Amino acid sequence: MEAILRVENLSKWYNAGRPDEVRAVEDISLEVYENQYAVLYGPSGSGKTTLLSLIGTLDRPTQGRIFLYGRDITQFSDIELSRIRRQTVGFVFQSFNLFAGLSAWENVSYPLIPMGVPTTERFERAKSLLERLGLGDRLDHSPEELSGGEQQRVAIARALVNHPRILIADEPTSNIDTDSVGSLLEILTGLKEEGKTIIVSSHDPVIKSRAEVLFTLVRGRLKGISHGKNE
Amino acid sequence: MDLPRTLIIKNLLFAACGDLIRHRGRSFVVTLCLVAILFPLVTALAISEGLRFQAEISIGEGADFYVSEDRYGGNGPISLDHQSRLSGLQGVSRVTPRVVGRTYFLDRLIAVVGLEPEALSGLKTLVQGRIPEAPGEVLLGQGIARAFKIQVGMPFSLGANPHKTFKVTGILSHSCLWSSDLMLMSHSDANEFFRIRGLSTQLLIYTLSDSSPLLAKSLIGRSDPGGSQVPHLRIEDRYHTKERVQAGFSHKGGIFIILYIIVATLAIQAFLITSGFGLRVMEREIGVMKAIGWRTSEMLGEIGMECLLISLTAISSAILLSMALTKGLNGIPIAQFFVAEVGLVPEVEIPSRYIPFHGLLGLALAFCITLSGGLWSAWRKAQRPPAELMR
Repeated sequence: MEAILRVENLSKWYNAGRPDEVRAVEDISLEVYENQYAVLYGPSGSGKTTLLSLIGTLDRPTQGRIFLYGRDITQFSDIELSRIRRQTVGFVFQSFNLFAGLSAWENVSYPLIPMGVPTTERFERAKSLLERLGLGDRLDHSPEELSGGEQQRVAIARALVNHPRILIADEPTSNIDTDSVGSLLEILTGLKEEGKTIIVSSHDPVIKSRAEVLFTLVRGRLKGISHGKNE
Repeated sequence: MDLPRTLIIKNLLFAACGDLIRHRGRSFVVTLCLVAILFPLVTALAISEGLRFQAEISIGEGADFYVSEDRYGGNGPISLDHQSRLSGLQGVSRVTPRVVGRTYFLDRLIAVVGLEPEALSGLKTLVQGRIPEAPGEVLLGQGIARAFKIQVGMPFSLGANPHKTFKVTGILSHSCLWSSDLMLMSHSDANEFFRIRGLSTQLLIYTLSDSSPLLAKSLIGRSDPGGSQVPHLRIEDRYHTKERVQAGFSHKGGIFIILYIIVATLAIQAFLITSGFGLRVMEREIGVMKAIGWRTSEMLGEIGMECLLISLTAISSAILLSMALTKGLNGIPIAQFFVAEVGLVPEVEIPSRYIPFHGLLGLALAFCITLSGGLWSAWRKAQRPPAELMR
């Protein structure tokens, strides 16, 4: 079986060539397969978020290549990368990055605005997702009126609204309470069962325990790949 | 336009509305800045247009031709001997003399107009008092009457000809700009006052119908008995005068608009940039929008709509504010900057006229200002990777 995501010798340096140069990710190679539950595991500052940003096409690497469904996306234009973010990859940010002042359903349906989806359809799609994630009674609440766990579920719904095949979540347990972690794991498991590929970065042992494939990062370098019991 | 494109535009428009409401503080300040810039522009244009319109009405209601004698290439007084000769021309219905001059009423420069009795009697409805009938009787404009507290029945004389005494029989009630500083009298009194007996500054020629003017002009020209010893006639027709008035207003208006736009654009840009209140779209939001699949062009489209909505709000507010000032408060205190010889509180009715072109011009100006502030900044940010913008 061919990997849907293949990373080859990937590096990302900030302030390259300057005295304050930071090598956030250094010479990483890995593969993720269809419908896999992959976890990037490591302590803070190990380069997990940077690597996820590169994989999620939110940033461009300094060196190396990323193949998504067999195509090298490191040379893609801005429009092509937007298409990937719109159709193939859904991203859940560590700090959720919801728009303040917009309701939950408006946040969820925001990616559909430039696609010309009518308001009623956008509302229905957002409502359906939010209900599925247990937020059916929070449709009109703005992010400020929601708890951390609820905000995260809104962010997940937004990432899923375009039916992406890959869901990327950056440190999903870092900004939510313990009760919400269980619910999050259920959601991620459910999505995997639906056939989605899940790539999560975390330093949380609970997330680590669910991994089918675990990539351990230390100081920007890949220190080990292990396959979990679910594999 | 296919359906998805229409829907995309509609969606972007609604998103732009939502974003303006979400960032209401910033939207309010930017709109306020634009109104501050647009309000004087709209007011100035409206007053200028009002003046032009009044001038055109005056020309339209006036004579078809104004004939004077050519003196050193300029208009000179014309002999009243021409009146009977010109009256007999084909297509001419009436020829009437008019004296127009200027003099000082104490320290105030006023216009003096001398008309024939039948022309004066036509002003009956516009006069508080009565029309001059006897020699030395005059009508005064409201501006002079108010300034010097002159009432009907008061006698006076003027420095230009102290031997000639006048008596006020009426005040012109219509307080338009043209009649404010005006003294109207009989033609013979004006002749006496300016010491031009047997002469008139102009002969006003009225023709029979629309088809007559060109024919009449040609006949007037041919009937000119001017030789080497006698000055030629100078003939100005209504259309030529109207053209000159329009050109004059357009020229002045054009220069004003260009200078104002340059100054206003620089001022507002400087303010928006230095204060940080411009439509500088927040980096983080651009980063998030890109991260969830928005393309740069779509973001710029949405920001463009924000600019358009803000500009529409600003120009509408500026027009309403300007209307309230010009129609309700008679241009206090701004009229003095645009109309000569008008004080802080205008004594005369300040003419103003609002036409769609001024609204469109203001809208275009506001749109350019907001676009240059918002679109360029957003485009530059959108060139960077989303992760960098959200960091």
